[in-house]
Amino acid sequence: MHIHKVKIVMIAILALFVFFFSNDFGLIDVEKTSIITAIAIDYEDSEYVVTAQIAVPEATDTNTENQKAQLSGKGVTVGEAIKDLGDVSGWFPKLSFCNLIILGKSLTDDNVIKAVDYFTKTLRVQDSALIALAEDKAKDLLSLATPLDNISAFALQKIILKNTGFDKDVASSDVKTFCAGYYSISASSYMPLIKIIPAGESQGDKNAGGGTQNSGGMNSGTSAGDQKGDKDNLFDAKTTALFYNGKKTGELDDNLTLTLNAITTHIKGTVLPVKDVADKDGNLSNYLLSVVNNKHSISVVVDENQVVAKIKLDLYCKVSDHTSGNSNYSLSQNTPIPKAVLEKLKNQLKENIEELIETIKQTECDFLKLKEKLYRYNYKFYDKYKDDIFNVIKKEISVTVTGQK
Amino acid sequence: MPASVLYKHGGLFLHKNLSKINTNLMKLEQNLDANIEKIKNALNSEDVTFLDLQLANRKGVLIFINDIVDKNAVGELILRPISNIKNDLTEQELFDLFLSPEKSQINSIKEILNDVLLGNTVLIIENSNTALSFALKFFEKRAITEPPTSTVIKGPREGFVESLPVNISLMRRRLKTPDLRIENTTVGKYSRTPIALCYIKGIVDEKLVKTLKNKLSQIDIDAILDSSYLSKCLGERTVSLFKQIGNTEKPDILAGKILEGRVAIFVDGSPIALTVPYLLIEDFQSASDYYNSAYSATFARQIRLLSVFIALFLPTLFVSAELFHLQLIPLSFLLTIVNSIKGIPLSPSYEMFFTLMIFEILNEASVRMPKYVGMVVSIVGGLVLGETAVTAGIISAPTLMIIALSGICLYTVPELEQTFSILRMIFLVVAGTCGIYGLIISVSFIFIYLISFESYGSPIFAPFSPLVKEDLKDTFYKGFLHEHQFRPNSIKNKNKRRLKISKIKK
Amino acid sequence: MQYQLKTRQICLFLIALTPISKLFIMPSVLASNAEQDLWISALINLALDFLTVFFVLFACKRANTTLLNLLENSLGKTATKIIVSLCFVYFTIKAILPISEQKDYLEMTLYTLKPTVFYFLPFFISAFYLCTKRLKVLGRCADVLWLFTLIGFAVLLSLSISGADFSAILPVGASGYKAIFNGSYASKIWFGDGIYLAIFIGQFNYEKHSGKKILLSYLISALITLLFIFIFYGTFTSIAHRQRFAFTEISKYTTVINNLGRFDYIGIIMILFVNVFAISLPVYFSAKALNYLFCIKKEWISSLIAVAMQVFILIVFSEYYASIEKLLMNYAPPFLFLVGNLLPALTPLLTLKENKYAHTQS
Repeated sequence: MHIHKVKIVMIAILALFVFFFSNDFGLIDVEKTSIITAIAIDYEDSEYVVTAQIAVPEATDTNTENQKAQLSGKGVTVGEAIKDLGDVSGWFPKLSFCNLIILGKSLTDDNVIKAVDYFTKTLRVQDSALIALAEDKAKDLLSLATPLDNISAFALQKIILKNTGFDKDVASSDVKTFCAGYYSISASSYMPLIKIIPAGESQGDKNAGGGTQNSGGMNSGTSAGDQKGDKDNLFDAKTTALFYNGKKTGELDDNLTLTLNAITTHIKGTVLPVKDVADKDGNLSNYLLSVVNNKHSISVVVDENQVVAKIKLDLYCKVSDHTSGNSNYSLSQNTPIPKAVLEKLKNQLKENIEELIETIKQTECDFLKLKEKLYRYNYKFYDKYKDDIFNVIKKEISVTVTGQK
Repeated sequence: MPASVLYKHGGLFLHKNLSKINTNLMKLEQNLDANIEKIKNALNSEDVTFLDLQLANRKGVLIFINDIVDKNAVGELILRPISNIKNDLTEQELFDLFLSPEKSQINSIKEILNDVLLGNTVLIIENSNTALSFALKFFEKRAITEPPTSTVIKGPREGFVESLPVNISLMRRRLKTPDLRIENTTVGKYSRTPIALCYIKGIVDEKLVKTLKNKLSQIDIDAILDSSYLSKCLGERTVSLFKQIGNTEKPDILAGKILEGRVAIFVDGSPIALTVPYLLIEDFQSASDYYNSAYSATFARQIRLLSVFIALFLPTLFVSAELFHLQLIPLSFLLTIVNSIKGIPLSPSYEMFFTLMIFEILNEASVRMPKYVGMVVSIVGGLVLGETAVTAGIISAPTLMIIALSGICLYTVPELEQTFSILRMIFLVVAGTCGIYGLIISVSFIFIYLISFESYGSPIFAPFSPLVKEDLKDTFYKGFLHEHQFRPNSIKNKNKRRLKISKIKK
Repeated sequence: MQYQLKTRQICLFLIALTPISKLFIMPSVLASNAEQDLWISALINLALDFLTVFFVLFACKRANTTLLNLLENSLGKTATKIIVSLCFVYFTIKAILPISEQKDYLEMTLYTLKPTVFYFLPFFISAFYLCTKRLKVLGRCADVLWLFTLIGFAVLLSLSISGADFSAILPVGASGYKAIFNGSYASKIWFGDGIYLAIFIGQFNYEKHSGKKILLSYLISALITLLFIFIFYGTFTSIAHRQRFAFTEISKYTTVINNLGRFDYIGIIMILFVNVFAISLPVYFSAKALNYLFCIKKEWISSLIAVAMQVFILIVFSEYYASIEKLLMNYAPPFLFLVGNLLPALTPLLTLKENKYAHTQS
């Protein structure tokens, strides 16, 4: 028996070595793979055009940064277009690293879920990938050069995620969240709208004309992504595109986006400008408050046959900066934040929240999930109010802003 | 009935397998010449000396093997008293005359042959049925030094040597108790290697001693040239990749193991003592763990565990990730890898495999080569070969780094280095063929193998499986002294308590 | 009496091995049937199993011999053979889905291209090897595997719990009792763990608190399953039914994963390791059933047959996987309930009869 065991082990090891040295069971190793970092989807001539940005690593000893290349594929479905990507390049498109999906404006003419749904059906793509809407063509965003990173997809991710602890002024969304919103009873979801700030224009002069876009990566071609001379393009993602039943029904500007974040997520570290605050002498000053902590809650209650949306926001701020002017406030002396400043911020936020609810009414995009809350917490009233909840709902907004004392 | 049986003689177990030697089992005759003739026929070798003597009116012959007896002692303790004999003496008077402390009377040709071959000096006298045997062996032996395989910063530096008596003396020095029992035997048809079982009566499980004695008596082998021969004979699974018998070169470690209820086996000619039963965790325990603080010992053991994990799995995980599961690698690291493998002619699995083979070749060469060349090998192999291979684009820098790290890590558990390097190679081939799931299956296979494996009644994977909670405090966590009040339960032993805290406190 | 197992090992067996195979496609099956009430569907099955375990413990307490001896003494050899045959069919059926799930999981998530069945075949070598071992080895496996299960869970849950919206399971019962029942019915194949305990009757020394310990272990196992289901639905809400391989999906949405890569695979690999044993269990017991049915003395022969059957089913029916899945979910549950719950729950009667018989004899 022992001899048999030895024989079996020897044969197994031998077979293993044979498999090892003849191993090519259609496996796709790192050298045959294109690492796709972002995908842009446009709709042209009744076909989906998927443009993939591929990271092209540079040799480490040259100290140059990684470059990019772009590939495009076409198809009547997104899946087919992605398959086409591999067909034209010979590389196997590896989508596990695709952390950004940009939708072109052309997709919003129809239900965008037709394009996005593919990513929740397949396990080859991470549905944790960020999703964003381009102001115009999605592929133009990928081909654009920016000083933020050699690979524009990485730059865009930095803009959208902002997970380094600065302003939470972008309402980011990923594929899973977007689709979960779409399939929820609210049928509502949102994603950031990316605007290009062309070279030479400042933040204050946002004109998303996109005149300097390049046409790299069109139709099954590849092109190096390093467009010298266009390095000054920046992106803005503070506007939020709203979707109801997969169709774009409205937008939130940067103020409303920030307020949305304040009442739905933690915005610690975000700075809030408070302008033209008059002191007791009537002098006007501008303040920049930094959020130390925010507590928020949104609930829907049915009270005496009345649906009420209760929105509560408690902000705790400190002063980051202020225009010196004639203000008595001094950062160095730890002076308490003037009440007028806190009051003004409070009113601003309250107005914004009211405007948010108004937007919901207009766009039908229930980004505050009021309908869902009615369903979950007041199920017995759901059938009664589900159709005209936004018309009958009352608001109860409570905002408190306190400052460091 | 096996060909060899044990019988007791003068406190020794003598191996009676003499069928190959051309002699009969006759008793000594009165006729000296006839006796000598028989012995000469059996020991027909030039290094056997037959020294004719005159004991007053009787003739005598002193028989010994030239190079293994202490000739000074022969002169002083045998020849000098003989030269002073004036009258004929009886056998008993003669026996009393010699001052040698270790002497015996024997009366068969076979016993004479046995004793001479063991290094004794035998005196045969005319007209006598009894011969006198003197244990005046003299073997050249090495000085007691620190064993190279288990050096310590703190703690005893003595190591066993090739001499069985010296090794036993080292044990006696540490365990001065009448309960320390030594039982001798010989194994090997031709080598007749003296073997000693060493244990503490009252702690050891007597069934274990009995089983071992039985197993030793059943060993039918030409020669035991080192204790490793014996360890293979005693192993319960004949084709196992894993060690089945523990071993150590240090008397302090051995004393510790004996005190836990193990049996030690010394083999003459080997500086490595065997211990039974063996647990896998033993090889993760170092002598210094018991001399340092519990904190540093625990840390060291965790490091060893981590190192073994890195050594076994880093190359394999890297290859399987490169071939099958790129998503396991963070993007920035993946880009670095892709950078480095650009232009490498081999696929990731072959690259890793051949680099590992080169490492094993260097490893083997550095052990075999003379020390002064060894330095050159490490420079040529490690620096020149590695650096140029990367520069020439034959292998990539991450691969080289991974193999180097894996190679170093394996030596944190030197006792298992050979087993683990084979396992690493197998895992690598499996990972290159089937990816990470193949690796998971291989590990589960080895796991099932190990947990169903018992070494003389003790599960080799204890105290993890079966789970022995009390013994976990001497595994990857090393408890403080007061936590080790009882002997381990993973091994069958008696007299459980080994420490009384109240006495320490007093 | 020589016991093969210890109470501790049975407890760890329940914690380590029973929740694992419920993590793959079962949550999505539950979600597609019962939506936000998926946990109630799971709870019904868990409660059934709990009751089974509870009843079997009575048998464990009174039994002086193994289950097979009890059956033979009480019902005779022929009836015993019929019951063992039912068990063989039960375990064979019970092995099909988890093995296919595992293969599918490898194909769809861990390997880039859809590979041949080749990559999964090594599993059967390991399963075969386990099948040749005695029950003692299974107990020893549990001694170690529980740690992997708990660490694996801890990694996955810690990464996903913060992103889960637990209010998604509200309103309770809104899906309707029919949907909830459908969920329980369709997911029955992943439950029925009480039968394992029935097999362990007489194989371990029932001590003073053994019953409590075993029940507690089963509760921990159930709690792990429920917690996972809560987090799963809280993470995916309305698209939960689309997440076929729940346990690899829930942990990838944290910022840490975005920054450092998929280090949650540490937990996933640990769970995959335990799953090798979890999905081998039905094959193991089907091999043991074959041993008894055909009086096979050599373990490797029955193991080989049991494993070969699963290989055959996997290879031949891989194209019809969806149909088989549907078939098993639609038609197997009554049989699974009969063998997995009802028969084990009746084991206390055997011990009563045995004790009565012994009493009369004395």
